[in-house]
Amino acid sequence: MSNTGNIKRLFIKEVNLIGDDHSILLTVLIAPILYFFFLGSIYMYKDIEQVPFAIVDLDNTTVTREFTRLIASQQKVNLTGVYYDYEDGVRLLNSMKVEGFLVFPKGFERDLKRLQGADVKLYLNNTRFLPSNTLNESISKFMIMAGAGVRLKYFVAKGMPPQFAMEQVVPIIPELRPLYNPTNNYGDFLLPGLFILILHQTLLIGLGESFARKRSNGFRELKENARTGIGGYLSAKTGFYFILYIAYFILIYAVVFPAFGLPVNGDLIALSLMSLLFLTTVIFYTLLISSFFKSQIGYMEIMAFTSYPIFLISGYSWPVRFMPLPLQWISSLIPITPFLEIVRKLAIMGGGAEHITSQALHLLILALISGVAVYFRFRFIARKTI
Amino acid sequence: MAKIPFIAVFLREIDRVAGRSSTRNLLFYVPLIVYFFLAFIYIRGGLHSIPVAVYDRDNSSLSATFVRFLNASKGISVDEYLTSDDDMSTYFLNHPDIEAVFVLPKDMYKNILKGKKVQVTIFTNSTNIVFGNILKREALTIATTVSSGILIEKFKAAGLTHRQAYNLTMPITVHSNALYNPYYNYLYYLVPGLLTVLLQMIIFFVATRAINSEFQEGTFYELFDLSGRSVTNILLGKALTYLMFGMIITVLITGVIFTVFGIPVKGDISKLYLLFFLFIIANIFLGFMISAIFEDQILSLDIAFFYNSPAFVFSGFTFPRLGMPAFDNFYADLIPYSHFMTAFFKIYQMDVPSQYLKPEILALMIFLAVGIAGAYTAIKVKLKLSTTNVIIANE
Repeated sequence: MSNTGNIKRLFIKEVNLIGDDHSILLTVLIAPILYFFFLGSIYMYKDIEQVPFAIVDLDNTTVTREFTRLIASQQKVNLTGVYYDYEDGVRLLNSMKVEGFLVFPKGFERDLKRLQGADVKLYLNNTRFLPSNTLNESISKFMIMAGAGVRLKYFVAKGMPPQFAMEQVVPIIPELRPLYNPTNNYGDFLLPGLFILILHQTLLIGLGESFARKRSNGFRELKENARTGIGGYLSAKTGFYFILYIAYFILIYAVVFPAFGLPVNGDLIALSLMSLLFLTTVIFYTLLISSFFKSQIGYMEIMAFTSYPIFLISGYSWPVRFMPLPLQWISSLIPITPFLEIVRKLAIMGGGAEHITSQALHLLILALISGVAVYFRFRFIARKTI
Repeated sequence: MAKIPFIAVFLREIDRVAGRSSTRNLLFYVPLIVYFFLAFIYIRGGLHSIPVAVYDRDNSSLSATFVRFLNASKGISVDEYLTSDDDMSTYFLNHPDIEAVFVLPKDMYKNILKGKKVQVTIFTNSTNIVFGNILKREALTIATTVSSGILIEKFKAAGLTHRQAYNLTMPITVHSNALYNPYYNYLYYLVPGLLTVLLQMIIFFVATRAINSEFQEGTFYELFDLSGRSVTNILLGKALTYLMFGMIITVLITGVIFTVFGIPVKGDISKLYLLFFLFIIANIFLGFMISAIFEDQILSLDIAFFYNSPAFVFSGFTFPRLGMPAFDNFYADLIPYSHFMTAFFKIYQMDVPSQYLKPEILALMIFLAVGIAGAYTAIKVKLKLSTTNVIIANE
């Protein structure tokens, strides 16, 4: 059989293997689609609203009741109840029915009216940062506005025209303009990274399972097709995955990103080329790693534990420069690190090829090194087998 | 002396664990390597000195004061000063290390003197909201502080005493108490969650292969005889083995990793261990159930993987469940980790009285009951089927 014919036969054999092996089938054909929408749906609403909290009103006066009414109308908070005993607040916090509670102390109205400096206490459950931050921000902003209202009344009482008084009450207003994620929400931040991670992990596990399985068979195929050469053999065996994952990338950029309201703003040619380079690099890494495993199940068991470390060390959520130096080195050795930065810069920030030169070079170096390593590794295996 | 049957199963299972490289990998090497690795990522604890740039278009004493406040802030470090109107739409692309730009407007000081409010614009690179939230907090604090300084001076100039001026400037003071993790330490926040979710995966994975491997390798009837032909003894003996390894990993988490990385446990450690005990045993039996139902080890492992791998995100640990759609909340309830995580934080960081742990304990006990019933029934059915098959074959 000609070399091309042999490659074609090996390609078809691999496609048949995927059809026969439910684990590989599940991992490369079902899991990506399922995870895109199943995991993506968690962040469908992008951000949290209506954080449950309580008010403990120890003053119970007209002012505190009015404040309570106004706070309850805030979009980000959900006032679950007003209580008159501090212990009720503690009880709710302990049972995690609220994320925090606000205490109006006795004499609040009196102190406020006499301008003696009124205090409120906000107790936040800071075991998780997102609801705690949301609550803290909402209540703090409300109280700043309430304070401005008090000053406005003072200025007007002193005879200042209301319009002029308005200018005086808060001299400096901070205007936050979050770029690339206008509402600073969690979904827009996490989803792009999550989708790329799903592709990375399903390819790493699925393709790797196939090669670990081949190794458990003593790489009989490689032996039987020695004439095809290592390059030909590996191209044939990885070709289907390559085509499949190109389709997934197209799906991500054309369907999944828009479905979750994520932008694909930048240079599409650069993004496509970089996605291909990333795909090639991950395939090289997968071949290399899986070639050291003696069984499919053993490979799968170990690789299942790589998702969290790989994502966290990539610097997508916790910046690489804040990690210890040895971890920064490890981070630079994995292809998802530069690629996530590329996706961030091209797709989300709308950058061009000129903005990703260092990440592109980084990815290219990883591709070349891993490609050479795969060649030598399989040459070694082929010699040993044949 | 004859061994008690379930002890015999327990000892046999220990031998099997020791002899199988994949179980050894899961129970020893994965925790040792991955746990230290994950904790090491967050060793700095918090994000401090976030690099920002300032574009001071006013160059006045007031804008200089504002910049001084920025520099004095623990969360921010002014690393660059802009001198011209950069295009903000590309600034962060060209300056990847800068996370925010504070623009102090022209005539800032003059307008303040004239009694006009001014707007300080803060552009943030919000592709990473971890920075975004800190910057937002710092920006609000600094702007409020400088504003307050201006107002106090103004009121004093109008004849008020310092006390009166202060009270008018800050008529309401919010004393925010960020309880349990006041310094927003990510090591205390994320690492315990990550380690415990991996514990669930480890235990679930090994349990998922504990029963079906016996059938596949043809050793089940040898085990059955050793157990005194009792399914209860098989389950008990095997569960004891994985419980022992699970508790060893618990000690690794709470006794070694927490100690080495200085992660404090505020609650009662014995209460925490009891919770781990229930969590581990519930996962063991759920794993046994899958293992007993599905004979194919790879298929059962696939199921375990798809069930467990999203446990962390569904638990509401990083993104609260109140922000998820109802069907995601429903799915989250079907994972033991979601319940364990709530109870874990109630003990580990909040140190709540025991009565507040009831809902989570109850949920974990339901998982345990389902696991026991499922595993027991599936093995019994398998035994009955194989007996029937033998009878048919003999006929």
